[in-house]
Amino acid sequence: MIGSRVVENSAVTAGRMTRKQALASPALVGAFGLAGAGLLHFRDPHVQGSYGFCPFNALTGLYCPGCGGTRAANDLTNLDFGAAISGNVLAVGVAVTLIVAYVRWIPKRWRGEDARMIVLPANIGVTLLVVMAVFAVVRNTPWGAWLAP
Amino acid sequence: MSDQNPQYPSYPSGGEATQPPADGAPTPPPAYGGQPAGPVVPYASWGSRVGAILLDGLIGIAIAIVPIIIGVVIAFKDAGTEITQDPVTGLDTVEITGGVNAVGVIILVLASLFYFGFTIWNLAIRQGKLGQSLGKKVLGISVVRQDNGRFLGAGAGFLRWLVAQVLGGICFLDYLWPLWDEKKQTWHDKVVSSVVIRVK
Repeated sequence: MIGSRVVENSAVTAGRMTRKQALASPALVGAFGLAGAGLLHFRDPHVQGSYGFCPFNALTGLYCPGCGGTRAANDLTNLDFGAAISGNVLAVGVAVTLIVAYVRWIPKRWRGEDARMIVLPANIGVTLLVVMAVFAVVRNTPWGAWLAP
Repeated sequence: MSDQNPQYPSYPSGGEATQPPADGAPTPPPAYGGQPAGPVVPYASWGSRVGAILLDGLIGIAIAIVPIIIGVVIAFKDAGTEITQDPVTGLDTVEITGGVNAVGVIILVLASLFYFGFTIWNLAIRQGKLGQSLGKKVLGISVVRQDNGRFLGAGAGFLRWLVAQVLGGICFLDYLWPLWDEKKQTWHDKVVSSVVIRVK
């Protein structure tokens, strides 16, 4: 009862913001993205243990879906797409998706819309998790060696 | 950052066709018969939820720290160290002497139980019954059922907390999921069909 009243009372219409307010989020995300890319470019994750070790890999000896991801990101900053894809094709997909989503996000925020960068409906989210799980299994099999880092 | 998407009625998509979301474009709401176009739900931002959980952790530490320190002091008050030097190698050996005080150990156990009890009350029971842990109250956000906006109740609140411990422990994606989820839900939100909304 009370909760339902709470929802109605606090329901706000998606309002317009000033351009400066709207662009604050993309600026922050962009700054973090550039900082991350810079870190991965200059502190090379190909050096063993430079960022610690994957706990899953250390424990089980198997590859997790993220294994090779930071190395692939480093390859991307060197524009070595072949190496990046053979290191972790999923991470490359995520990186490309993030960049595309970011670029398409900016004009919306520029118009003062309170838009989110990425919005995944539940079924797409579940699909992505399934893809991740299948990727994790296959890259640990002999037939999926081309997916391993 | 509020969501400009129209509210999706009721349950997570049970297989209705949805557009590829990579661009974050708002998808039109599926036409459910008889469901009026509700107001835009002011989902709580991810940052405010992180703030609330950090605050809850700090409150827990704040109330448990005094008995824990007292327990440690009493438990080890008779303990000392004895340093002996090996005449051949010249290496020092540190030996702990004296016993551990039982009263201190009991105080430590009670302090841990107190902390655990507070956490369950705050994050499971209180949050289920009133929608807010102490941290969420400060941040002005609340956990409600996604279908009718009511509070979960103590049972579902406890289940939500338990699932969060398990899923969050297995994979950090549970905590990051609201960043891109349509309803800004974590996995433990989805399990009990809850959403977290702004209330002020």
